[in-house]
Amino acid sequence: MTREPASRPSEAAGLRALWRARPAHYSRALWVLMLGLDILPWPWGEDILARLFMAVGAVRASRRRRATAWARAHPGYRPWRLAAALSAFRGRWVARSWLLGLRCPDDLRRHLVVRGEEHLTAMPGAAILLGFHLGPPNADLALRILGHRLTWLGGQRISRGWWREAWRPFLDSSQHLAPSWGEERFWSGLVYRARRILLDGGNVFLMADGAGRGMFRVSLPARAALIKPGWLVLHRHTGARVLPVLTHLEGRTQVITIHPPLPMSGSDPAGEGGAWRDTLTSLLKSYVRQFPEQCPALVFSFRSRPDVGEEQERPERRASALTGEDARTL
Amino acid sequence: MMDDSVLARVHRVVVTTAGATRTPPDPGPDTPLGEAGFWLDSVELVEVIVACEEEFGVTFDGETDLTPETLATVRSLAALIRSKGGQ
Repeated sequence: MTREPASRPSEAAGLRALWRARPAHYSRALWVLMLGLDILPWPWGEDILARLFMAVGAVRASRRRRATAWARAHPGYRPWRLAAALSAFRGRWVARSWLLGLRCPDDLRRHLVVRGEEHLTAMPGAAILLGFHLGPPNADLALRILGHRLTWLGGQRISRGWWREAWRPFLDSSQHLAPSWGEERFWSGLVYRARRILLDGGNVFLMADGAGRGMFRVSLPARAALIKPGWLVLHRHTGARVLPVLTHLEGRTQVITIHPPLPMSGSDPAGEGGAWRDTLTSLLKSYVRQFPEQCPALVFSFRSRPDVGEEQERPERRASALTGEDARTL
Repeated sequence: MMDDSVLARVHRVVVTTAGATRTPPDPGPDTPLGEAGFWLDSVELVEVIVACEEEFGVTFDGETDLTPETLATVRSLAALIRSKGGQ
């Protein structure tokens, strides 16, 4: 069954509905620009947006300062060139998350490559695919376009592209666990349904990092990535394998790399947690070294859709944020 | 004081999940499970739900049973468990 929330505008609803559908984290100017660029065939809109973000990144002092500081933390690159590439990639990120100019999944399919697929297909049984806010968005979508059956657990998809008929099957409620448009965020039922899917042998894709309650931090240049505990809880209650998934752009092609499953001893949860932290730290550090221009989420403050476990601040978390201490719950 | 067995057992599950530091000084059946109560987040609420399934031998429907209303307090969760046949 295709999810059809009452508050989602259809294409036929016209410009007024499109205007009203503007998410809070998009400025009016950016929303109008996106609607305009979406008319162009892919990748024209994406290229324009990348150049625009690069220009704005050079003009706006706060963005330029952050991008340059990030670039200087990466020896071997010309700082101004890396800063410009980072700003441009941010534009591509926004375009890809919006499916800008992508009329149907086939437009994207031709530019997708998966590496390490054997890690997912070699063993039967449930798998938790662990994404990160690095590189282009929608790695889960890319895998689904390429024929992998998995369920997304995370924030709403906000873009005009999702209203097109060709993309709607990807919002099927059995493979898309996200709060409905206009619905109060309430994740527990969605996380519980993800657990059921895993118990039935299915695959679930969710983001490992973000805001909210942290399990541990991975120290990276400029900013630490906060690893959240949702995936660990799902693993503990289902025994599903956990496979980190990273993605990057090579030219116009999105490469999705599925890494080997995190080691599971089954007998020593504390030791397992330490090994997982080390594995994830090594993966993320290696990614940042290799693709520093594809990490805008580590440099700029993204006002993006809230994700699992980002709904409320507990008193002691506010305190730990103020003191800069890790909220270690593992 | 909770003399209802289901209520008392749900309360025990919630207190175990929240831990001593987050359990309010005088928790009752109407203390919120989330904000300004036990401060359980979505993932911790799932821990409570799974623990309740094991404790009472019930199964929930993630789409219809687990709502902000049914997961508001110990009392509302206990009512949900009773409606699923939990004793």
